[in-house]
Amino acid sequence: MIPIDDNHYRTQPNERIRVFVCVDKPPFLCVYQDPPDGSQWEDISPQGNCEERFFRTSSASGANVTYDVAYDERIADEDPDPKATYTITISGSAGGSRTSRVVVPKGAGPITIAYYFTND
Amino acid sequence: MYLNRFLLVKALTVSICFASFAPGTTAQAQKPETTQDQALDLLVAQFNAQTPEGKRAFVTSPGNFAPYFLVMASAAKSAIDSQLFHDFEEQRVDIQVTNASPSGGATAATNTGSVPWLFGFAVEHGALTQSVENNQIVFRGNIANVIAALDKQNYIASYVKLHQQNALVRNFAKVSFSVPFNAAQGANTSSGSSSSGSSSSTTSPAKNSLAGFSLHYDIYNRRDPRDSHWEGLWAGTRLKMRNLPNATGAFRRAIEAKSNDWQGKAALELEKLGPNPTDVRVRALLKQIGDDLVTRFGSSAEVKAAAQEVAAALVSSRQIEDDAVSTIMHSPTLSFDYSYVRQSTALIPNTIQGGTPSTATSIPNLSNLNFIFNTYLVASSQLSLNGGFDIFDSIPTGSKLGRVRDFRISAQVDIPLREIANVGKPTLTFSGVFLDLLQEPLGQQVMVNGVGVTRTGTIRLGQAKISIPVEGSGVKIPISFTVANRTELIKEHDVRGSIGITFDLDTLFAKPK
Repeated sequence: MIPIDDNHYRTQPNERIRVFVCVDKPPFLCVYQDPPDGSQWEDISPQGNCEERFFRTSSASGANVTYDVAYDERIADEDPDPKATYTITISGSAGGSRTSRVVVPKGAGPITIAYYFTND
Repeated sequence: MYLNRFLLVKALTVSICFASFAPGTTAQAQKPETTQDQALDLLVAQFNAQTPEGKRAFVTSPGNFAPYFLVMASAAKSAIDSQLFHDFEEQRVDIQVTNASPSGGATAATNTGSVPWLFGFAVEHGALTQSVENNQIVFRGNIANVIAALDKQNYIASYVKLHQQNALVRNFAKVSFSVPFNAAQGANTSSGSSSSGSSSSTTSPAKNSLAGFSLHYDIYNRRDPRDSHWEGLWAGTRLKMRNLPNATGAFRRAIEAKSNDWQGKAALELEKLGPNPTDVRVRALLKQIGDDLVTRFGSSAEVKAAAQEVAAALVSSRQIEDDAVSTIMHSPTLSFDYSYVRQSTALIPNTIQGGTPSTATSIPNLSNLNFIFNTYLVASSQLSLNGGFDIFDSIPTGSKLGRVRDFRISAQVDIPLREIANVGKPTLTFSGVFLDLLQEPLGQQVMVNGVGVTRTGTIRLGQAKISIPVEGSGVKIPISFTVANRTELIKEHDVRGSIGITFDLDTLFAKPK
């Protein structure tokens, strides 16, 4: 996998992609399009304020996997730093990784990001 | 004199309100007038919060522009439009700055259990079961959270970090404190708010003296969305919210089915923005990108229908989250209060039964131990139950009194009322107290003209109170009306009114920067 930017990636056919997301302030309100366009989610495992999940790219060259993710917050009223930061690490079984961040200010969520994966 | 006290409270209210409203006034002046403005304001807030790399992902994700698209492309406004930008604020009625301890000025009959997470203070006039009244300032806060908030650089995730510490630190974070002070006032004040016939003149406590201190410990309190106890609830919430990314995914597919050019152009426009753009330029950019979306796809029934689905999913997601927060806030709490109360001769009224009262020795201080249970009743009303007792810290020499001075039970119902425009949601409170004085309240018999009088027995008290908030400031003005069969030292029917001010600083800290 070769990251192009935060939400665009070049992938290998049949590559297994790991998506690992953590939030600095619970609750964890990261919600995925299900199923992603062109694949299926596999091995979803919530881990406290984080979640790990995988999908596999198509075997066809030039094929796409695309999905939307909504990031939201429920920050307590008394929090003096009223924003939640999601840290997203996307890595491929063929190598390559990128970490990005989505910041959700209190009362301004959800923020939606569309992720694009295109096979070489 | 009562008027003077009222003016003091009023002056405090006005000055605090003025300070708190200063930022709000600016915000009000810039309040958007149209849903288009609201949609753009939301986009600007979302865009500005992102990292430089994240901004590109934000503007090339069509789902973020779906509300703006819907507002601009739909000739007929739907009912959903007005809900899209509604900022939900859960109003809690259980946060209590004052303390229903036996110290002189407390006007609350019952403790509700929840205290400010950070810091609060209150100014109150009146007392419930005692025979004299005085003004009291109560400071209340949580040491661990204040330290965390002061260290703002490292504040992010401080709650999580705090709860990942060892049991000692976690338990320390559950302890809050309060320190009541007797406020400065004249040497003699008339209790103009009381109808009790015999206590027409009282001696006030020493000026600016410490009235005691109080420690509060949350034995069981899960009313925080961050609590790990609710992970299962939030997992279920996420499942229910899948409609939202599925709807934005469908909106994206509807756009991409017609053209991929919009995203490329949005990325190009972003590159032209340059570093450190002003809000005006950011707003213009986001408007341009949103308008481009409308121009390209505004006539497409499929895209408009998909945008409508996104709007419906946004509203339903918010409702699903609100339901989860409501479940959390409706969980019961159990807590424990310890209060150390300094008693003084100022507690003795100038006259009892027409005679001059006195005590033979100094008055012992008190320790009050109180368990507090709070739960929700129907709708958003809450029930608080208290059970506790007072013990003498010392027994006067030669006295044969027991250590336990009294036990008391009390109940309180808080009913949030309808929101008043530009004011907020007042809370109506009804409470009742039963106090059994097993021993003489001052640890010894009060002497009236040299003759000892007994003051043991029961006190029954009922109170109605309305707390009026000052919108957006954290300030509340409680006004109460109390009826009691007697007070501690005067065995006569007592009716009195009280007014105060409470300030929850959490609200100020929580204001978006």
